[in-house]
Amino acid sequence: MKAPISLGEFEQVVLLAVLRLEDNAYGVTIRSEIAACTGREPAPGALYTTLDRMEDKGMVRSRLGDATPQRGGRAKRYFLVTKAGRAALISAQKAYQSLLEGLNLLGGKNA
Amino acid sequence: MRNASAAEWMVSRFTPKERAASIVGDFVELESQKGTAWFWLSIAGVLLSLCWRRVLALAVVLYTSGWTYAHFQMVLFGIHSRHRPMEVWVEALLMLAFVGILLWMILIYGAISHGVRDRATQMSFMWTVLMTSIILFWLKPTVLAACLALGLILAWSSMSNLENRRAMLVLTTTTVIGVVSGFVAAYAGGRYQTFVYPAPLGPKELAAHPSIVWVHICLLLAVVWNTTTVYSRMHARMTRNTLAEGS
Repeated sequence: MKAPISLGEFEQVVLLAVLRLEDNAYGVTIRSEIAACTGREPAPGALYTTLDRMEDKGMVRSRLGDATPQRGGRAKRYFLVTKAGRAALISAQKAYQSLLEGLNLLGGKNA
Repeated sequence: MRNASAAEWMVSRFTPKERAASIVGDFVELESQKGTAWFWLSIAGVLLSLCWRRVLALAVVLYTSGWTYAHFQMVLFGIHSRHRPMEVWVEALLMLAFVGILLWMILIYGAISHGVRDRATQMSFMWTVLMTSIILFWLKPTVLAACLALGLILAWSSMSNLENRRAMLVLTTTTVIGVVSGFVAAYAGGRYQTFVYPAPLGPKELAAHPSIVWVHICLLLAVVWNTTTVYSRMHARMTRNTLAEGS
C-alpha cells in the first residue's frame, strides 16, 4: 500500500476548511473560514498556490460553478477533498494526536 | 471591469485560463468591500507566488547553461582534440556537448520548478550524470563502455512503468525540441554575424558591432525560454493524465 502524502501545516488548514465547507468551498469562503477559525487571514497568493499544488498532487478536486454577474461573469471554482487528501489529513492528525497524548494542553494541570 | 480583465490576462500568463478567471472572480466579489488597492495587491501577491519559481529557475538555468557550455567546450575541444582528428569527431562532440548542456538545463529547471521528488527530475538527474560522465571520459574506452551499458539499463528501467514512461516522454520531447531550437538559433546567429561582419571576429570587431553579441544573447534566451516552456507544459499534461487515471 502507498504511504499517504505528507502535509504541511497550511495544507492541513486548507483541507480542513474545505471539509468544513462541504459543497460551498471556493476561494472566498475558504479564506473567510480559515480567518474565522484561526484568527489569521491567509495571503491570497499562498491560498491559491496551495490549492493548485494540492490539486496537482490529487488531494483535492475542483469543478467550475456557474458564472455570476457579481463576479463579472466569472465562474466560481469549487473544491472537494479526495480520498487521498482525506487519508493524508487523517495520517497527519494522528501524528499530532500521538504527540499530544499525555500532555493535556487544552485543560488540566499542564495547561 | 476593465481592471479585472487586465488582471485576468496577467494571471492567465502563469496558470490555465479557467483557474485565472476563478481567482480574479473571487477578488472581484470582494473588491466592493475591500477596495481597489486591496484588489491589485492581491493580484500582485498571486502573480508573485505563481511565477517566482519560474523566474528563479530561468535565471539559474541561464547562468548554468553558460557555465556548462564553457566547461564542456573546454573538455571536449580543448583536451580531446589533441588526441583525435577534429574533422572526424567535431559533429559528434558538438552534439554531445549540446545534449549535455540541455540535460543540465532541464535538470536544474525541473528541480527548482517541481522539486527533487518529482519523477521527471529524478529521471533527468540520472541521464545528466550519465551524459556528463560520457563527456568527461570520452577517451577512456572502459568508462565509455560502462556508461553505455548503464545507459541501456536506464533506458530499459525508464520503460518499466507508466510514471517512468511519462517522465521519459517529457525528458525526450524537451531534449529534442531543445536540440532543434538550439541549432535553429545557432544557424540564425551565424547568418546574422556573417551579414553584419563577413570575416573572422576578434574582440575589436565585436566591440565595433555590439549587435552581434546582443543577437546571440537574445537567441540564447529564446532557446532557454522555449525549452523550459515545453518542459513545463509537457510536465503539466503528463501529471494531469497520471492523476486522472489514478482517481
